[in-house]
Amino acid sequence: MPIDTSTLGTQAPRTMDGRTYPPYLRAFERFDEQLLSQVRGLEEPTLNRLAVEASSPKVRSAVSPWIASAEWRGLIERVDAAEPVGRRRYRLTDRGAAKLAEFS
Amino acid sequence: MRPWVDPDKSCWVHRPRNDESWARLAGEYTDDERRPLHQVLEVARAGGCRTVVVENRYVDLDYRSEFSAFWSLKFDNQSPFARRLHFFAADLAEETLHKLTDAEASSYLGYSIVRPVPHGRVGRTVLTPPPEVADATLTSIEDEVSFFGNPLKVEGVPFCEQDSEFLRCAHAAAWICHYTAVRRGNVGRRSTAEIVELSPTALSPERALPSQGLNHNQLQVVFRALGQPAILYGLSNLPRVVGVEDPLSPDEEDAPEETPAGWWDTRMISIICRYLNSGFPVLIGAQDHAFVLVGWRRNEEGQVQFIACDDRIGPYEVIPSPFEHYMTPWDSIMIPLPPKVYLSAEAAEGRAHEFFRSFVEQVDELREIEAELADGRIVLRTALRTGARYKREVSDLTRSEETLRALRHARLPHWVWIVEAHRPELCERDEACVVAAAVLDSTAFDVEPPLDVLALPGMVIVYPPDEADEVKVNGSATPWGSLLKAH
Repeated sequence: MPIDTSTLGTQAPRTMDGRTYPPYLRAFERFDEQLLSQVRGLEEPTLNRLAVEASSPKVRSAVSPWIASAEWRGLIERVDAAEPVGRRRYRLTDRGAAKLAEFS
Repeated sequence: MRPWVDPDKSCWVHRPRNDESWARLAGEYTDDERRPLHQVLEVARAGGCRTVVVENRYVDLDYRSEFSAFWSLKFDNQSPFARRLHFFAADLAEETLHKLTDAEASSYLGYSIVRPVPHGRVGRTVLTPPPEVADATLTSIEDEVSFFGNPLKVEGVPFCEQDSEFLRCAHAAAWICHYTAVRRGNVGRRSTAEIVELSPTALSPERALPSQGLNHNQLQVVFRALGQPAILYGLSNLPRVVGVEDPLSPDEEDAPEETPAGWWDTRMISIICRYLNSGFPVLIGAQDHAFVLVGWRRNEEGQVQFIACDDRIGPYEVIPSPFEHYMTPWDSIMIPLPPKVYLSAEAAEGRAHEFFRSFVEQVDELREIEAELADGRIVLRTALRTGARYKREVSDLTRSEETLRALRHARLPHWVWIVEAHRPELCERDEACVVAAAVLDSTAFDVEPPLDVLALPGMVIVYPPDEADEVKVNGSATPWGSLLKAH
């Protein structure tokens, strides 16, 4: 379900059908700098590619929930968003690029 | 558009050749591009389908049961008849459909029943796997069809879709597991309406109809009544298995809330594969949805991918990773099993690991195996088989008459767990890769289950019941083949 864009940038992003950002995903925002930078540096990376490039086992285990967190916050988006199945590839959104710029 | 039941015809034929004609066929039944019917047609098309025969006024046991129990009671009800689409890779002539040649019959790709209901058109469906998943380990069954008197066979995994009112995703998922067991001869066939009828309403606060779906407790009652009590694994509490790497939680020690294990617990992969290797479909509960895993394979990077029958998607969906699925995080794993499979796959595998290590440490020439087991260079693979199948297939693994005789005379229970110790580098080269194997009684308890058979380099030992003397024969000194298709 797509995110309600009017809720992006708030503390409580919501999907169009009213689901709210799961609180446990907030913990993964600490990986934003490292993983957003990886998304920018790789060409349309997949989950596996990001995991392979992860700097430690801890980060590797966090890649999947971080992707969910970043998607919720509109920082990354699926290249093939219309396709429900198959391997997912991601790219940075403008919001994600702006977030990354905050770290530099 | 034809009336749903054409009174003048037993069937009609489509010969779709391009996107447009396939879309036209789908458009006769659905206007939603993401519905499973499109996936059904895509699977048939990928298999080389050139002829689609629509069997008119088909009396389907399952749909008729649904009609009697639900649709017929509505004020403005549906037709009691379904249609059955038959897919062939050959070009069939309409005038000779009653007398197919052997070549035409062998080009059969399977069937899909179409229900005359507003949502959830796809009823019982069995299709040949598409080439994309031909190398996968699948929980396939063989189904037999009478096509205007021609006996046809198709091998594939069953699929059906929920109709949103009477059958929900959990019913569809339960039916997939049930029909697989039916075709294997493990249980007698029950209709979809019977599966709904078996769902205990007392275990849910919701009214029975229109159905809101089933929870775990209700599903367990259904499976028990079907003669397939299900083993349940909660993702938050998966068992540790010796030789399987413990996953690393992404949470900090002081995290206020735990991240659901469905995001990161890699142990689920080996748990699921053990049962898929055994030929049993695996029901996944994820948030408010249920779907069935029916196979697995490795991608070009060696990572495990699952094959699913998900009634929101269709048959043979390839799931690249459980951690990037549209229903991630998954919550539970449920596997309906034969009633007397008491021993879990993990307990069997852990016990075999213990046996392998305790035996090889006593033999100087086998010390290397002990070290490899300890550091993970040798991995264990586990599957459930009938004792009869094990005895049949074991003849492919040994050239020794003495060994074959000892194994075939072994007194085994109906179901046995087989645990093989593999050298992965030999598996990758498609060479004989098994350096040890154990057979365990599936009716044993999880704590210290005894051995039925142990095979190590140079020796095979059969342990009869009733405290009889063990039978020890010489075995292969070099690795032997695996009973598993993929490992």
